[in-house]
Amino acid sequence: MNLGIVTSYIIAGVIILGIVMMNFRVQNSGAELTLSQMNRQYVTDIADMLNDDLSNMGYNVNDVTRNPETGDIRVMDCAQVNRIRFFRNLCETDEECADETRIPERIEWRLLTEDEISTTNPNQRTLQRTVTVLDEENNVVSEDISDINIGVTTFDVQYYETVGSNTNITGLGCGSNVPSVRQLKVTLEVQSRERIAHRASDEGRFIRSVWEKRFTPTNLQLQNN
Amino acid sequence: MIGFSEVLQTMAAMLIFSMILINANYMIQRNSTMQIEGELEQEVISLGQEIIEEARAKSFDIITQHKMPPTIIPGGFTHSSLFPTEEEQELRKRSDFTAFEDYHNWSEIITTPHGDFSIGVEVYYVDDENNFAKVETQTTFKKIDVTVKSEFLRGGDEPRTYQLEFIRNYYAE
Repeated sequence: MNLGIVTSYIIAGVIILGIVMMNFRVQNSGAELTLSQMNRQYVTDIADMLNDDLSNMGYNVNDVTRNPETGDIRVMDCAQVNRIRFFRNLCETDEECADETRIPERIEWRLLTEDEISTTNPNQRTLQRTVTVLDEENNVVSEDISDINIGVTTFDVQYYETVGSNTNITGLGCGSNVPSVRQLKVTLEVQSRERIAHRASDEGRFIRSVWEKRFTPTNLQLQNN
Repeated sequence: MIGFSEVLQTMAAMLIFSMILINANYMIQRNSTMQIEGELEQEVISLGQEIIEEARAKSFDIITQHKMPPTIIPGGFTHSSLFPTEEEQELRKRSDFTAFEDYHNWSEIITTPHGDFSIGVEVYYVDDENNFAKVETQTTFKKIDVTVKSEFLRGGDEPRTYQLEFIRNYYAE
């Protein structure tokens, strides 16, 4: 038997194994980058909506949103960790903007923490945005519910009594006005549906993208404690 | 004994494989860098925006805070020489700020899920008739420059500087 050919076969085998491993790593790296960019796009989409909603909270035509019964400023009426609800009155057409009797809409963002939505990633939950139109007696006239099922795993809102403070306030409830809040911080995390493993024996990990921002809505600064 | 031609072929195969491996490693490294940089740059933008939004929620000038506007506009506004110095800012906290110019010379390290980010702020008057150039005297326009840096976002040896700007008009309040 020719020793040269045997040695060549052994080396060729090692090289082929190396190429297979390298292909696995390149494939994983590409998949990781793709999932990461998809997650980031999802985060950007949700962040765009939050930037529009939260920054404009309390906006009303020529005024701040008010309680129709008492006339007091009413911007936010629910301030929980996974749930925030506030009023705003944005107009789109000239006719709408000229109508000072328009009743503000109530916007709610809420993470449905109980229900799992994915069989592959148990951390994923539905982020729900609800726009409710109320009449002057606070009865629901119409409700528009949008379920966001694009891999949200965390929607955490922290509330601050002072702008720029590092100490958040807890224990705020729902249903009544929350006049003490001046600033809020939203943390949003999106995870991929599938795991990416670095080795064949590895269980793998979910690819995640985190977004965090403090909001200082102008109308929250107008409230009295 | 191994034939000379087999040795040559083996060496050539290993050389080609090494080159492919180097390229593949470079690509994987590039992918990881892009992934991390994208995530951190998203945080940089959020931090810059949050400082600008926070400053916008404050009074245009300390003079106009909870008071009637000054009789002379813009001459009645705070002169830029009276804006806080770096030494004064070392003794103040972010939560103490009440007016737009209070953010001048303020710097802080903000800790986030993506690590520590260094923030620096400059506030100054700008001239709307001269391409919004920086001026020392009072005008009805103030500009805020927020610079954000991270140890993990580097351009060469130094951390890369990201700058976000906003021009505020007193009459657009």
